[in-house]
Amino acid sequence: MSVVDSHWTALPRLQLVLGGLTFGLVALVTMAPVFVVIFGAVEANVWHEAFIENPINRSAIGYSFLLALRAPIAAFIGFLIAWLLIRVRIPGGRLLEFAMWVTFFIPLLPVTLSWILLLHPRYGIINKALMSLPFVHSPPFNINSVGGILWVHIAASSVPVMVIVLGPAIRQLDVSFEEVARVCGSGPIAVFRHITLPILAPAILTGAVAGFIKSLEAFEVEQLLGRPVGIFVYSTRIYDLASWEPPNFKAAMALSSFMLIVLLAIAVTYQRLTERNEYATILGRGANFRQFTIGRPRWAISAALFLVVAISLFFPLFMLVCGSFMKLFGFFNIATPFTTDNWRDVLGDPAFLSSLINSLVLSGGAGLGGALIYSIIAYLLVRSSLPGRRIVDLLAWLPWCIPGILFGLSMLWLILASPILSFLYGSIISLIVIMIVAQLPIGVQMMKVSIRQIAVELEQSSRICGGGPMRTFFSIVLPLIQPILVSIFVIVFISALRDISTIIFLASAKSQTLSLLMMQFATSSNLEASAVLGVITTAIVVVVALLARRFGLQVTAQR
Amino acid sequence: MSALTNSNAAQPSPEPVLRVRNLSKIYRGARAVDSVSFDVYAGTVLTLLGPSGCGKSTTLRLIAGLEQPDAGEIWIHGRLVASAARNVMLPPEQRRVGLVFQSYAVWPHMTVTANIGYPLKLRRVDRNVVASKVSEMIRLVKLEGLGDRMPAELSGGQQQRVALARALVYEPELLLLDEPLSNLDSALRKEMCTQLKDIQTRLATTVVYVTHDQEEAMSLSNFIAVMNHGVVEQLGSPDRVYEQPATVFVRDFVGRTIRLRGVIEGNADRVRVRIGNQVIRTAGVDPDTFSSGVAVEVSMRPEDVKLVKEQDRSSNCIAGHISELSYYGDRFEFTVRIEGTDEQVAISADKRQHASVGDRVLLSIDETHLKIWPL
Repeated sequence: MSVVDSHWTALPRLQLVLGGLTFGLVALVTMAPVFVVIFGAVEANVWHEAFIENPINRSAIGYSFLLALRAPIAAFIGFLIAWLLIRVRIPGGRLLEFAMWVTFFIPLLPVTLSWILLLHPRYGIINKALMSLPFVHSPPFNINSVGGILWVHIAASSVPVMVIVLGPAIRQLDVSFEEVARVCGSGPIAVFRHITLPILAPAILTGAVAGFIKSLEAFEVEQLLGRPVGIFVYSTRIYDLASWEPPNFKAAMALSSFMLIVLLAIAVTYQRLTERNEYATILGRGANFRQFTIGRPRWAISAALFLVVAISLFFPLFMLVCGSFMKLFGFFNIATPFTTDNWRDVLGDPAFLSSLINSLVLSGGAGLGGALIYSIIAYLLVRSSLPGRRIVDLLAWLPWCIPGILFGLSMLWLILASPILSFLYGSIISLIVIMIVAQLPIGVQMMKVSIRQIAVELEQSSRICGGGPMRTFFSIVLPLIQPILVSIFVIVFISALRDISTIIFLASAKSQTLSLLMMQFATSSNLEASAVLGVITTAIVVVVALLARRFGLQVTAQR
Repeated sequence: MSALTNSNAAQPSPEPVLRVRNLSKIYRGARAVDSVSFDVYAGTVLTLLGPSGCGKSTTLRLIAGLEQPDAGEIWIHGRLVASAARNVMLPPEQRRVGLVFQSYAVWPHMTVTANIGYPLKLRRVDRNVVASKVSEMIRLVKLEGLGDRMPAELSGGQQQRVALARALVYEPELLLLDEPLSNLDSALRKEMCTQLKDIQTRLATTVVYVTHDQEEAMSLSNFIAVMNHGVVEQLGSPDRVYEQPATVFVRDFVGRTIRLRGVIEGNADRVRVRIGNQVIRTAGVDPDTFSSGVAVEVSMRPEDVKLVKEQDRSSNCIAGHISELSYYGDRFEFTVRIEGTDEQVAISADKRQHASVGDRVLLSIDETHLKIWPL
């Protein structure tokens, strides 16, 4: 009889204290934004002022939800692409999949810059090219619009994310479901419509809901493209309110309290959906996976997918590099449009070097610290019998639905309000902490999955041989989950490197990062310098992604 | 049940290596282990034998410290390691026991040498001593030349031996084995069983062995505790458990049994049982226990029943007809229907037997090995 009992031993007092401390800390940092919002918004008339008297706030909420509609669209397109990539044997399939990964990792800001270069109403290359046609008299595209913002998100991030998120669900689908239908007499398209799509519909729906929640926290694209023409979303409006002199925290908190209620409501729905979805994937756990081999059309499919990757990755990157060498961003028709001055200026700027160092310290610190902290929390959640496990499990998931900008803002509030924390003000440590907290949900989740996969006997053997719980954790558990530690390090590293909205309130001149410097250049119309930083940041991301792939990064299977 | 190891077990040492008293563990309201008590003396093997879910593995896990008892106490070498009443619960690492899991649990990220050496490293043993002890262990379990292999490169039997070496290397006071052979194929199981016994005798290790396989239990142990529904039904030497089963469960679980229903026929000196229209004699059954006319069940081991020809008829025979017959190469398996009843008896017979379905046969019963159970 093998009774797998997670509470397999009574914890000595020291571990009880340490474990309790860890749980308490998790509860504290995850609940902080909620408390701050509640305290901040509790004043009378704030809601009235925030929503009735201020039409910009109302429209910000409206635009946020309008723009979040990209999630269902991207879920559908992403599903089609993922299905083709995974289930059909097409030329260059592996390269395409890796390209999706790189696209997923690349920061949004540089990509936005290159789309400005292409679709700007005044100097966008595509607009100009089309206007040279005899019957086009006004620029057909405008990047500074709802359509422009949607386009950048869908092409550069939403679709690749969906491809990656939906991949595992498609892989887990037992092919025999489809084969039975074929034997019963359905054609391949009927099978897709009647069997594949309905079985995977819950997965697509959960993907869409998750994407919807994540969309509501988008910041830099909206700031760069929407703000100049008066299109505000929740996060850019919060940024605006809080960076006034003096900052209007009350209005920001009122706005946040509304968003928080909506987000939590959607998040609870999402939790319900995933619970049901887990059941569906267990049913289909056949590992019976086969690719279709088809004739000619595979070339057409491959070409179409390469076009998608070209639009979302190669083309923007190429334009970004071009932009970084331009005298005047977007103006190709002046006498000598290209120069290396931008690179010389940026690389010679002392702010660049300090930002680079700050970025690497932040990303490395958050990656290392995160990997260790998440593994401890996940281990306690999975294996210990500590009281309050279930609550902490739920709380560890909370940051997932809280927008980064709100996290940053509440952390700033806490630092300013409490004398104990004031030493953190503007320090790189505060940035590292906030990034670790922001990535807590995905880190702990991935860790939990991988710790559950370790047979508990491996740990029990070590205990019986004479190794205490700590010793067992460090010499048995950690080495066994080492591949996932690498994956989590990479994810947190890259997230911290590209993050803007979470850290923007917390950074000072001395803790300025590459991403923030890039944002600062971009919003102060120094798009050339911003493009230079964009190229550098992208290069770092690609190198890290390649290295991680080398060292056996297996994120695909885990997400 | 508080049957302790019986007196012929008494080793010179008065103090048992393991003492378990009234041990209980409750899972979701059900008593997985129900007031179990036994002692294990130095150098002996006690086997917990029973079907899956009988509580044998849970008992072992309680001893190892992987579960906390809800009642009862456990002493190892006179040291109280767990007591529900006194709120004592030593963690596994402080109990100085060794454990081999059914799944081996050989750490996949360490070589064979590192796996075996790990317990010594924990004890901060000098590196040279570790090396020599590990190679001694590797020789003992016959894994010479495989020290640098990773577990994934080993067969199931080899991993098994790594797990055993790892559990023995630090000379634990008590070795716990949780169905260690059940994942091996049957030929390998026999071989490992012999090796295990050999190693146990050579090191004079004290062992608690958990299995559902009675052959393993018979060949390895000095004592067997047959468990069912969390309770020890009988505790005794292998031959005693086999020959003198204390309960119906033990009788049917350990070994094969032939059972026939009948009625007691009164007789002053010997108990006779009428089966259909035939009567068989018993020996060694106290006539006072059963009164005439009582319905009973007669049980015997298949090896105590012989198929005989009419001319070889002995005094204690019962007749029947062959209703089924299967050929197994080395033997025949017959199903015999006893005359005048619906009772069927399955027995095996010599391969040179020439019988066919429908033949009338006689079953000669060894009266001394016959047992009578009230219905």
